[in-house]
Amino acid sequence: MKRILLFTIASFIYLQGFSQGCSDAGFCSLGALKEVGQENAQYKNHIDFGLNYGLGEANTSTINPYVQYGRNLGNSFSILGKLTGTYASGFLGSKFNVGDFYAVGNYNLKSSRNNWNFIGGLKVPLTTANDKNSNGKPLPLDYQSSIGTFDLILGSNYIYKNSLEVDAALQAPLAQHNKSTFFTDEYTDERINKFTSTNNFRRRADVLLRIGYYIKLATGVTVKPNLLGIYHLGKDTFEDRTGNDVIISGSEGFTLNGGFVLSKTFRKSSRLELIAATPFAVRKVRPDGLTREFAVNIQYSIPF
Amino acid sequence: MRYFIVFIALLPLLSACKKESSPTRQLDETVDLAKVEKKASGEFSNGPYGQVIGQVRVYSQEQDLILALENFSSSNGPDLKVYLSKEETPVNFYNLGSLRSTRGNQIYKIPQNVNYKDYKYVLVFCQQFKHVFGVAAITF
Repeated sequence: MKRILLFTIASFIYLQGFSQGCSDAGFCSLGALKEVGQENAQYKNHIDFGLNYGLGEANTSTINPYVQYGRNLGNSFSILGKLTGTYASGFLGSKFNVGDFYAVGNYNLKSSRNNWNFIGGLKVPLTTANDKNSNGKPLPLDYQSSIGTFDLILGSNYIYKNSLEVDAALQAPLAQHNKSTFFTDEYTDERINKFTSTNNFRRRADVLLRIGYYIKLATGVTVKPNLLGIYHLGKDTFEDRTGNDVIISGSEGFTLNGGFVLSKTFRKSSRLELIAATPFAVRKVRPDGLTREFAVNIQYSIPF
Repeated sequence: MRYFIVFIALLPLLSACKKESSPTRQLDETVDLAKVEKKASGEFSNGPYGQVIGQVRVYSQEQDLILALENFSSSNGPDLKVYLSKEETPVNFYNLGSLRSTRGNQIYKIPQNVNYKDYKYVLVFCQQFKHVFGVAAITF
């Protein structure tokens, strides 16, 4: 077991040296598509506090606090609401804003050995992705707390014999409320070329497939190494300075990430969860600002 | 369920507490009149959604074209841009970029691939809400 852990950690450190992007539009880290293990049936409610740190394009640091509340409605059905925010800082300045709200329903089919979840929900943006820096200049989407899309999220999570997990999901924009006015040529710093112009950005859908394996190390301690593939289904667009749509070549395609989850359940069923993730393969162009060289996440869950 | 409803009800408060706005610092960007040639000019008047005063001048300086807003003042808005436009409400336009400030003299470079003579108006335009704040008709 120690070898598995050491190998995984060493792989992350090694791969960080040349990895360039990890693209989570939200669904990779939502409800049953992220959680380790099952909710405790003894409690009806849980509230979770989390913090995510990621390093993006041009060394843009992002800290994403979030809070989520879940409630079981009977034996099989549960609901979850999640609120996110983002503090981003980099050479263009720093910015904090609320991000998105997620409302998700989960239906669980459980047998003695297997567990199957179906989730469906919506992502509602709380900003229009048009925050400016202290000089009043529009910031790239990497600095924005939301990309401004109303998204439909559908997914399934299957856990076989309490050990092998397979997730599949779709996140598709239903309406685009992105009002970004960012053009790279409004800045003179050469590092701006790491970003892409996103004036009135329009984003396409993503699908994901994740495979993970649960390993119980000790009482209440579980680790889950996993592989996450995300396919961006089309080319994104932005409007040029004359109002014409421009297709962003290379913005479609596949991202492959490796993740590692460590979960510790305490007495009274509160739980601490640590996640580290990094990409192995990335899209050629990543205009949506979701790019991370690596990401770490900590979450504390309190059932009641 | 009660907690869930309260949680959702509080969300608009979070998203409504921010208001974007254009910079308001006094600018004094000027061109060297000895080195430029005036090509066009106009005077701002208020649009339907804002109050804008000042003059527009287009200057050529060697190979470059410069749009200058002089004695300029505008009411503030969340997302003000400077447009060259063929109409008073922009349909065919060129976006010169974010308004640098709501007060003072300021200059914008017109790219060489843009023929300024194609555009009859200079607009101060709120892109996010598609509101015209100010219009200047240009005479060449």
